Amino acid sequence: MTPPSVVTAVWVVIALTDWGLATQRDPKARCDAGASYTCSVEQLQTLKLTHVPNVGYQMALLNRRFGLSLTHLSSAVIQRQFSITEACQAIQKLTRVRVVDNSTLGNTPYHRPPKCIHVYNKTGVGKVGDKILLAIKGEKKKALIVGHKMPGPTMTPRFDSNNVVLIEDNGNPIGTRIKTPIPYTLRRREGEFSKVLAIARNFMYLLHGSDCEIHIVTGKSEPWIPLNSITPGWLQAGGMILSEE
Amino acid sequence: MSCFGCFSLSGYRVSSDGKPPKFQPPPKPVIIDRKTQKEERRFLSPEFIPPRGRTDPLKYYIERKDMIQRRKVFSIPEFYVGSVLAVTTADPYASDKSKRFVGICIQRGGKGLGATFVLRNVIEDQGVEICYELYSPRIQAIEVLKLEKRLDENLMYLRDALPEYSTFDVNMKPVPRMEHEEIPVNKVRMKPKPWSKRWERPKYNIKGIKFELPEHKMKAAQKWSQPWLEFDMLREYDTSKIEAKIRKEL
Repeated sequence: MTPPSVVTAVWVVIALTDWGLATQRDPKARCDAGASYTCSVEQLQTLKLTHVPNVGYQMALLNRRFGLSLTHLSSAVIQRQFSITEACQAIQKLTRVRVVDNSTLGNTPYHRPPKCIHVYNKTGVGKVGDKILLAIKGEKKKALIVGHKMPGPTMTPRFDSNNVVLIEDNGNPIGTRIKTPIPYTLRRREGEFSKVLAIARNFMYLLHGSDCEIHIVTGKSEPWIPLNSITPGWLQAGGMILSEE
Repeated sequence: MSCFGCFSLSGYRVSSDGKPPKFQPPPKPVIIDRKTQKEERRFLSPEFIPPRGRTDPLKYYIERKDMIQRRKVFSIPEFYVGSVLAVTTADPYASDKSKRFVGICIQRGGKGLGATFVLRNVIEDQGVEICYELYSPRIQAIEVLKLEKRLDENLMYLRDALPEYSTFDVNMKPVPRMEHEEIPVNKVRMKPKPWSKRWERPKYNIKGIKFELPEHKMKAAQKWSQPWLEFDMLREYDTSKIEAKIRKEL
């Protein structure tokens, strides 16, 4: 039975090398969020590769040593059934995240790190711009993903930690400042994230030298110095006033 | 050759005899032909070399033509893994419609038009890596701020190294360089052990890390070495002839 298993191994390896990790999968290996199913060991072997955080490097290795990976897989194939869940990347249930804004809830130390308990998405995998539910300090709080360790499309930044911004149910950020850089792709959804974008200090590639602070609730009419990122739609949305220190 | 002969006229020298000293012809200038030397060492970007496989070379030939076309319009400078680059890309969401990112190149992957390079920098204590495509029309400019080579082809271990090795000032000025093949002698120091990959293993063949692990751990890592790999003839991919052909095309 080795030839067909080698063939499936080859198929999955080819699927991997085509960058179709999240979407192209062996038909047997399809799952809904949280479901488990059985697949054979060579799939386990190949899927194990995808658990590696740096997929790009693995890709490069595979591309360079194409022959090597095949021999490696075929030699390690054993006919046994294992049950595993689909390898999901980026942020999903039970991932530990890093809260990036300056809210008290996010920054006070606790003996357990904030963990994701639900992703508001059709698939259970959260990418940049998705809302998730976090368990922080024994409370449930919604949050917005602003960066993950998984490499995304080219030209988008990949961060070294899974970053998250705490948010209320209506979309208002809880903190007042975000110091870490945020990808520009969030700008596309400005209607939803206008308030979050407003408190972000560093946009990816565009680093402001000065600091910005927001007076959200008070609505003081102080003269504001326009940042490059302000559009008229925003001011109407929140009536927020920015002042540069 | 004493310098006296160069700078002083023979007539002014006072010799013991009182006669005019023997005429010494000026030393012949040594002509170092730098042009031919440069041409021998001309840099060929690694994405021009086709990968090993059974695809028709026509495909790579056409790709190379497109790459040359693009390079005529947009200059892609010579850089290696380990050099610091600044890339300006076009972005619809940015205020000036363009954004600039500075970082060290940790990896150059892909062949042909899909050639990519990954730049890494640490901004505000947050490590950021961006993968750019060399031939993407969104890229407006690539500047080499510091041309440098490293001992390895892949600097992915910088993720587990101390952040000081990946931080580069965004407003860094370009560093001028005369001979560009200097390899830095300082090795990179790493963070404490749980790393994303076990870089000490011979599979990665990393020469640029200063391992501060105890001796027995380094020896244990050698257990995974596959010394027969370097003698495996089926894995050989000799690119010298291919490179020569491509140089002629270019």
